[in-house]
Amino acid sequence: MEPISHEKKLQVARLYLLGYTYSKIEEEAGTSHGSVSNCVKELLSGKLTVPGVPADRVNDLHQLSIALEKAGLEPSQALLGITLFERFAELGIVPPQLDHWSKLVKLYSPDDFPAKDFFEAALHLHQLEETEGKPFHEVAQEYTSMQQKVVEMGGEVDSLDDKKEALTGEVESLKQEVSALENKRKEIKGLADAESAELEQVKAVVIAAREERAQLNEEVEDLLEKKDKLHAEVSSKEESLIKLKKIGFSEEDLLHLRNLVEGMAEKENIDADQVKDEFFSALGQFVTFSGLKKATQEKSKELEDMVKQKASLAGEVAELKNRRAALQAEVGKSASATAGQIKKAGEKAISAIQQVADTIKKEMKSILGDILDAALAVGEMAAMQEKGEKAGKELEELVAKVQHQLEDSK
Amino acid sequence: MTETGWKQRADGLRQQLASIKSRANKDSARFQELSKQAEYFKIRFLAHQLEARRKFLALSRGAVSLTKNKKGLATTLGIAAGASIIAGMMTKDGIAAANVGVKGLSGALQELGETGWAVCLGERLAVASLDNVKQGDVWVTWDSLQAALHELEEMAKNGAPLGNLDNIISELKKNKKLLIIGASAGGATK
Repeated sequence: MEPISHEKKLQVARLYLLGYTYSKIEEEAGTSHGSVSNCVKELLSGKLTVPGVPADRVNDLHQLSIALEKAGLEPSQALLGITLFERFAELGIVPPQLDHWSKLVKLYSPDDFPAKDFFEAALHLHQLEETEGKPFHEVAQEYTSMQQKVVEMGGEVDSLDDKKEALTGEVESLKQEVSALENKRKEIKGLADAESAELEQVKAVVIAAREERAQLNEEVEDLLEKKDKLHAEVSSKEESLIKLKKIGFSEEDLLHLRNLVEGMAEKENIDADQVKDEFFSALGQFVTFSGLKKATQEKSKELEDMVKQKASLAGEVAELKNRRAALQAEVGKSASATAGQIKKAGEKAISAIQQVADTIKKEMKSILGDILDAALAVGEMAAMQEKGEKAGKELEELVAKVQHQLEDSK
Repeated sequence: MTETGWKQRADGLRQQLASIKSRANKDSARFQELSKQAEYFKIRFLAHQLEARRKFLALSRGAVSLTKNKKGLATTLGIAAGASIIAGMMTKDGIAAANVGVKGLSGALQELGETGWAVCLGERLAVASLDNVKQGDVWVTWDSLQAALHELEEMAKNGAPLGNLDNIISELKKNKKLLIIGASAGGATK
């Protein structure tokens, strides 16, 4: 076997790298099988180097060339393929997406739809399927279901809004009723106050009646005093009368006698004692007793009149007493009965009013408590609704913002 | 109004009030449940979108790595699979054949592109591999963010209001589990 030149060795090596078989290299380079075998050994061991080809890539390049040969491709075509592959990779398009894209473009791309747009749409679709781990129809079904849920929730929210409005209306109506009840309570209180005022008036009347009764008592007392005085006077006169009857002169006789003596003394302008002495001296000279008898009869008549007058006065006093007693009884009875009735009626009315007022007050307190509870519950519900709406809105915004920002970062 | 009439009205009123209260309590509970769900979905959606983005980036990264590392082509995926991809791309009729290799490749590519990940919580949300983190913004490690998000998810389940995206990010930043990349002070670093 004759030695071959370095140029020949490089030719053999290049042909080997292109995936040529030994026999084809022998034919192409015009060398023996042994020479080709030696060259390949040198190339693989690193003793022979081809400019631009690292020693550790020799085997890879040979295998790649064989694979291309089998696929019916030229190295220039493979280079173009690699260039395209790199270009797609730079754009963020990976082989699985490229495959789906080309397939979809072939199948569905309409004439009026730019292939670029179609590719992007297909890319997103593929990405969606990849990230969700589900086929598109399932994702679409889920989306439709979620959308329906959103619509249902919207309806529910509307319904709750309506309920809220209805509840607000009811609360307003309740407030009005409470206000009406409050007015009613005030009205009842007014009536109670009026009754109390009337009762006070009745009390004043009773007091006036009592005062009047006291005044009458005083008058009666005066009359009694007068009667006693009169009675004493009458008794005194009776005693005097008895004495005079015993001595034969009445008091009036003596009085008359005295007046007569004093009148004569005044008329004669002399001392009364002197006149009296002369009178008694003259009286002793009466011859007959007829004149004295006449005078005695007159005095007796006068006495009878006085007794009659006394009896009449005693009757009047008795009548007055009776009248006073009757009046007192009447006033007492009347005042007592009236006051009792009024008091009873007033107490009854007050008790009834108080009872009703207490019941209403109690009911009102209880109802107000219930209203407060209901209002608190409604308020809490409104707050929860607001919170839910806010959270829903924030979720929508978050979805849009996250998608936008992550899309932009591509 | 008579006393009986008054009592009837009062009883009627009480019944209405009890009914109002009962309905309000029921609706209140429903609204509360809706609020909780909405709060929970905020975190779930955010976590899901970030994960989707990370997967996409891993896939792309795997593909780029494949084209740059010729040796990796041979050792990781095999010459035959690589050739079938190239063939599939070059010839329109080779799609079906390429599909076979591609389906297995998808997972392998993602695996190839996996690395440490970071999330930007600055002006805009972004996901990037740790070697692509840019200076001058708030970047946190992926795992620490997941832990912080889990805590927020638990809070949301209990009905805590989380607010909008800015509020959520602000709340996340306060979380002690969060590892901030390259922070000089006020947070953990990696």
